[in-house]
Amino acid sequence: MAAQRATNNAAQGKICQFKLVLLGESAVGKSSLVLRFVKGQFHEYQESTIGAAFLTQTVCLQDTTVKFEIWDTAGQERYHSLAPMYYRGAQAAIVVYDITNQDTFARAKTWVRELQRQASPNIVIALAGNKADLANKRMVDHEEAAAYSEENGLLFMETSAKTAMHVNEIFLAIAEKLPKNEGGTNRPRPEVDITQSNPPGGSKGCCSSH
Amino acid sequence: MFRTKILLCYRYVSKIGMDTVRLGCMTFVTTAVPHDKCGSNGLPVTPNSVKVLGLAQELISLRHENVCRYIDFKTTKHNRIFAVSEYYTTTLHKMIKNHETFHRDWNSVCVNVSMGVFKGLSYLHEQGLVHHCLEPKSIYITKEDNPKLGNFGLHHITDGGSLVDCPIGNPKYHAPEHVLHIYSKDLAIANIKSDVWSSAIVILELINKSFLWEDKGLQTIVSKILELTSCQSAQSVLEVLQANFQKQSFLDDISQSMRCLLESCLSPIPENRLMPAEILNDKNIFKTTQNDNSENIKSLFSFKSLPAETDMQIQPIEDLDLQELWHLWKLAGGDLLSSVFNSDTTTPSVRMLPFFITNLGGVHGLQYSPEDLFDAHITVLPMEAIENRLATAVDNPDMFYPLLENKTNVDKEHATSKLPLLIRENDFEYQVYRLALFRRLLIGYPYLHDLLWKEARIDIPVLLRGLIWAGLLNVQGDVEEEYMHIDKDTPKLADRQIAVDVPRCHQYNAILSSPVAHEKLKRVLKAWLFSHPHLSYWQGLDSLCAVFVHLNFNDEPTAYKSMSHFIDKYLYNFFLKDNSAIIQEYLVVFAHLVSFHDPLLSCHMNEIGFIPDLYAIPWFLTMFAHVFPLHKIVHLWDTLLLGNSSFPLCIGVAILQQVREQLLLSDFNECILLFSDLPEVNIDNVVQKSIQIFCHTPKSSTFRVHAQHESNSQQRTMSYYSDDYNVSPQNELSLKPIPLADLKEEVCCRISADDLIQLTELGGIVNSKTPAKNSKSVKPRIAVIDIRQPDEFAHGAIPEGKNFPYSSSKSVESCLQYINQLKPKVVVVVGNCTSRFDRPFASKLLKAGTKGVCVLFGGIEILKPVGILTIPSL
Repeated sequence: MAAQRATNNAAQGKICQFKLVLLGESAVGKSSLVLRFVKGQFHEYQESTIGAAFLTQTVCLQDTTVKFEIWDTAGQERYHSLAPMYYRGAQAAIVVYDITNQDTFARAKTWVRELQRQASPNIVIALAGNKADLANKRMVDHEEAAAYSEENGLLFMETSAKTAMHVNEIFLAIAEKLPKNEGGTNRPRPEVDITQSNPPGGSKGCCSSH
Repeated sequence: MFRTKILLCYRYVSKIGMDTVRLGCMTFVTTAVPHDKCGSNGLPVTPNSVKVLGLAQELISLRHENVCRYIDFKTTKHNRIFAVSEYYTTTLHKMIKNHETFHRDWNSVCVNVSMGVFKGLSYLHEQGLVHHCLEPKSIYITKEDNPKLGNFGLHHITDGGSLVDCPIGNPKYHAPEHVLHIYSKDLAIANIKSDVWSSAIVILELINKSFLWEDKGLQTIVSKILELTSCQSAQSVLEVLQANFQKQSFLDDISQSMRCLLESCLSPIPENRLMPAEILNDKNIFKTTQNDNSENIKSLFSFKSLPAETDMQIQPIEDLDLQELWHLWKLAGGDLLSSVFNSDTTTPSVRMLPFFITNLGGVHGLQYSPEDLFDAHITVLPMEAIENRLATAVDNPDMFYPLLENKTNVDKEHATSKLPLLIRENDFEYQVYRLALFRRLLIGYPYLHDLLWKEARIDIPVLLRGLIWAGLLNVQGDVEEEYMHIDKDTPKLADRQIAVDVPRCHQYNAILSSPVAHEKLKRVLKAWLFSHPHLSYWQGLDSLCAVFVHLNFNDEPTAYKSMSHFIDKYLYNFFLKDNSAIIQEYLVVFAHLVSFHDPLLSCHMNEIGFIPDLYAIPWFLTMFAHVFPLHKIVHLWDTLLLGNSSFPLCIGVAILQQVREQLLLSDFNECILLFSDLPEVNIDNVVQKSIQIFCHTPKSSTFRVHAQHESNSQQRTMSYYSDDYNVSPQNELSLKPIPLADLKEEVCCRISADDLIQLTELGGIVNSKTPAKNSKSVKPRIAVIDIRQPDEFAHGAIPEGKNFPYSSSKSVESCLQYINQLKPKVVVVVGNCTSRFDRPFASKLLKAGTKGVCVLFGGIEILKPVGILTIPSL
């Protein structure tokens, strides 16, 4: 069930490019979500991401084609300082937690706060409660997460990269919500901000630019 | 001592007799686990065959004269396990059965066998193992009448029987408490005292020269064993058992010592039985005490020298370690699966059908197949092929007994060493030679350290890679002791991260995906973190560690120490809590190196903003262990370990060059996608290319402030190709540390005045050691481009310098023409240290695609005090 791929059909209407970043504690399934969305695959033993990985995928809405440029970041706290380089200038973010682990939900909340403070003001944030296939090991209430998302104006879905549940849906929901008029139709390339010194909020670490 | 450890590995090398030792293989099927079940961490449940594989590795390292060696374990589809072990044709069972043919004093045979059995048991007990499969069929008798325990690992590798459907072992020999535990499905029991009971039953049969309860069914046997628990003492157990032998001999016939032995083993209450070690030390039982160590020590030093020419009885197979024998057996075309299945163990499928099935579903007449029931049958692996191949070694003793100190032999290369690596690794004769050679080099380590380096440059035999790497990484001293004293258990903050990373690290590899491997990986990581408190766990360290754990699976101390030395040498301070300065510098130096070797690619990547920060961090932080599969990493590191701390940068450039055409045609997105999913990289090409790159780079150009410096390292880091610049003595002409911000301002590599003087041979030929120089015996073509004003140039310039004033608009073009004519390997742009016009000038040269561009660090000023500047002639 891979997402609908765009044809080179001009009749599709306009093409918008959006930069999307995935954030969240390590081993919650960020890379797996992206892999499911982009390639329709799932690896049980998805290796950890170091630094960040980049993938693209295109989805078609009624009159627009939306091209996601997806930055899949490393989850370990130590790589935190890298994150601003990726979320700065992003139009959308998916903050992922693992429904079987309460700590990852707490971590997701701090990511949301950081995005609200430091990312671009119009950023569309979605919260994904991943590993929904492990419902019998659930530690985070659906209602609790839904209420939190409601309060903070986030899109919210429980997903499963393994069964593909709600994976395309969450990306499509983001695509719907993104403003199409300013979606940078023919931007030459995604802007990974490598020029600004000292990323705000990020402690010094592996790859703080400059 | 690390050296002792190597020697221990070869302790029994020369103990194998050609007509007695065989390789045998036993096979069994583990319990299947449901396909869709998940473990507590959400990952699929590890198949039991993989669990067995992990548990089994420990057995491979066991060595004792009364214990059969396990050589290898393999797993195939359908959860089947193959256990390859040492095998002898004579078992105790055969000996008892054919006792008429033995014309030796039976009493002394009994004593000898009992002693051997208890020695073996005692050793297993020391190793924390129990046998629980002891029976006459699993005790082998060597040509020298030495008993060897076989099949002892089954209890351990099946986790006490929980990983297989069938009960293991022969019930007849089980102690009463063991029988009770098995039939109450209580798997927790693992008690050496039960083995003591079993051995007594075996010895009793041996004494009686016949078997107990031969005609009884399983049910009777079990109830008979359980009845024994009603006996009050060991004496009465013994009497009851003795009465059960068909051909009764009188108890009085048993010698006093044997009786004493049996009585101390047959108490119905396990606590009252003696331990194997106690039995061996009991003066009433074994009157002769043997010093069994003396022989081992002797064998350490009794390495066979090259036989005299008159001695035509060379039997190379005897000089092989069993591990080597097994490795070569496979190279000689041995096929384990077909050898096992073509033998008579498998039942034709038509015989696996039941005779009839009732309409209620009852099945009748189904024969037991090895698939259902535990079967200790061992298939003997055919040795003809390897024996025939090894026979050629007799004609060529050089191959099997290479001389290390023979000066005339030093440069004689084996003809095969020119062939591709893959062919060499599978060439039987070549591997025989390499194994023999490296075995000798390792035994001579660390004294033969230099020779080990030299030979490792050609290739490294798979079988010995772990130890050879440890040697190349200068692992020395009592590693075991050091590792033992490191706290690996105290919970730490990093534990959670390690716990989520380890179960997904190189999991395509069966051994690494076993629970035992996960534990090992965690322990080694924790040990490293504990012994390096200023460093911390970064994701990626797991991948790095996995390489060493996989190579030294039964030797955590060596894995730990090799990894520590590896990180000190190549990843110095990379794992600091704040490593930005180190990584940033590394990446800038890398970017410069790319511009030096591939200016067009470098310009293209800079233009589209495809900077190393976006793709190269996983490369260098893990030395490629996170981006390549294990079989590629080992070949890459075989070479990496021979280079200095800058060598990984050259590997990075070589990888970029391999995909350069694609990169040049791609925009930012395509480039980064290419590296998110690293394309199939040809490692052999990368290795060859990186050596070339390394040799053509002035060593000062890869200078890093944050590399390990001499004051910090106890021992100089070695490199085959050249000394490590970072540990070389520094002088005023060498590169000096500059702030990271300044380094980033540079557009290309810097070259030190030192290097420049050597390259231009201004300082004389004698002390020239630059790798670029070694590539050809004549000096490499070098262009010195002096961009100062003509009047400054006229006041004093480098003798080989050409003046292309920066201010003149045509300078760059004429300079390019000059370079095109000269085709230099290195282009040094010389300017003033204050104005720094050399940067924009070099930048223009790069854009024009000039290779080998670097700027002189410190400008012309640095050379003024040296007195080599001359007034150029017009």
